[in-house]
Amino acid sequence: MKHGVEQLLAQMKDQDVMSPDTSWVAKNRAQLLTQISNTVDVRMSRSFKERLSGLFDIFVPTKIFVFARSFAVVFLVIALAGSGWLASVSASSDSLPGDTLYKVKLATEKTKVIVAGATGNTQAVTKYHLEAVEKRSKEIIQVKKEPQKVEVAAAELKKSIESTKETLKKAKEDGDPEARNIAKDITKKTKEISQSLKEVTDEEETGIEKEMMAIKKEVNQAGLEAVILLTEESSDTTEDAEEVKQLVQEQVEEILIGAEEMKLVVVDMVGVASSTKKIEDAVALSTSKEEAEEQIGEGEYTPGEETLEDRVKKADTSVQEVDKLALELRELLVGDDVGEMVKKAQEFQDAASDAEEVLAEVSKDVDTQAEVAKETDLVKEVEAEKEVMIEEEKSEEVVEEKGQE
Amino acid sequence: MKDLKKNLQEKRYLYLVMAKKDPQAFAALYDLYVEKIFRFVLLKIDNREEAQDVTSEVFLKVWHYLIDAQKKDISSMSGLLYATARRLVIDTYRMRAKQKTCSIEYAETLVHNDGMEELAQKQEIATLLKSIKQLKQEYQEVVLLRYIDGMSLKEIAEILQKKPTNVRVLLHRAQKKLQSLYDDRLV
Repeated sequence: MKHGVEQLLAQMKDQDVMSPDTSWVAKNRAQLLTQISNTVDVRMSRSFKERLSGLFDIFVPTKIFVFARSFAVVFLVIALAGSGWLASVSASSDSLPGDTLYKVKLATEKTKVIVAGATGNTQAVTKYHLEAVEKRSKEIIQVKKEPQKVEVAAAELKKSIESTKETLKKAKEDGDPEARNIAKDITKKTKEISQSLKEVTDEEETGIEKEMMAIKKEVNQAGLEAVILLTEESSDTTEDAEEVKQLVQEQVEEILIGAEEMKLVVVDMVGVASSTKKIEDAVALSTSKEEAEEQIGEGEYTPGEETLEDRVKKADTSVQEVDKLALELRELLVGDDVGEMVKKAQEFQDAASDAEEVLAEVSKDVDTQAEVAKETDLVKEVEAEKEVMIEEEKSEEVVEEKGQE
Repeated sequence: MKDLKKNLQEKRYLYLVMAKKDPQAFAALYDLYVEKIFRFVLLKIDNREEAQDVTSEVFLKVWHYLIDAQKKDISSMSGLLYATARRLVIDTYRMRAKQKTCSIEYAETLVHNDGMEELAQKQEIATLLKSIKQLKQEYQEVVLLRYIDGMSLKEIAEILQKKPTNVRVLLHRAQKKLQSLYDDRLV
């Protein structure tokens, strides 16, 4: 619109060319008041309910109801979907590998990690990864008698451990101020998880020793890497330095306890292996070697090849090497050189893992041979009884002959 | 903030009228709207006396409508007043066959009744009024509500029961048409 017309319209407004006369406005007002006042008396006043309803109608716009309805529908849909999801999530919280809802459980955990990652909270991300590791380790304990399920949980656990390590690595590379706290969290949590995993293998023979060993190694490695990060960077405060030292010492002590236990296992094995000679003798004493083997079943032990005693000796040597490292580590534990302590701990960790693998293999053979020894003792007892009976029969026959005479 | 206060006050009056049949509250509403309704009616009727009658009738009808015992869903007092005014103007058109003549009469009396000093300006306004009168009803209403009554697009939308975007389009078209008509008259 051209400026002239717009101006004219403004003038029209200003000059009140279209406004009513003020006198008429006042006169009309008075007239109107009289007219409407007359109508009020003859009409019934509204009830409280009607007044309240009127109040609502006036102050709450009609559009609100339209929006409210749409919102209500959307809310209900979300609530229904959400409650279904929540129900599944809550039902899945106790599921185990192999269960239908196990994937829902994993998906929920991953969602938590994604949400925490989206907010940039690295410490929360680590917390959720560690929670996942802990949950998987508990699941492994629950399904320890079902190797297939253990395998599933172990694979997931490894993934979570890897993610934990990745998060720490990234936090370190990005110079995240939370990196130290993350490393501390990892050190503490991995120690707990490692202990609970150890309890499983100690309790009874599960048949998943190898898997458990690999898992334990992964967990300990993650803890050790976290400790390394803590020692690589200088502490801001004395308290922090003290805390780091304590964490490293705890980690090392844990490792050393493992070494002690390893030694005990070897002592037991040596005891069993030394009886191998007796077993061979026992087998030779029995009616025939084939018969004895038939009676005691197939064993992995095969004379002529590397004997069990030799293999135990080999295991013993590896454990002695670990023990040597443990001794050095113990000496470092007394000192203040945390960096050297961690370095040695890493070296020890590698040697201990190798030794544990050898031990696990030999341990199986030793158990088999212990079984063989037990069975062979039985054979010997039977033979002895047989001989006694033969002797008794003979003496009875002699007695009878003498009686006849 | 001022608009919100005004709006709340208007709603309070409306509640008092509807719930308590308060004549004073209605009088307050009358004060708020009488000029606007008068202008709206005058633009369509072009006769001040007739416009006054119609305006009085608008308020009386609205009062009766509000105090009726039946439940009312009234979101806007202005919307109700303008809708009533529009209906009564149509009734007036039907009853009065001479309404076209009135339009010219009003514009001419506007010029003749004033002094010579303001003659040129009044002449321009009269020409503009005639141009506005040539616009179709919808265009007339949006021009009046926007430029004379100074209402917002949202308020106009409420009164005309249209979407604000539609009102904007309508106003744009009305402006273009008015400009063209006014220019034609000047030539």
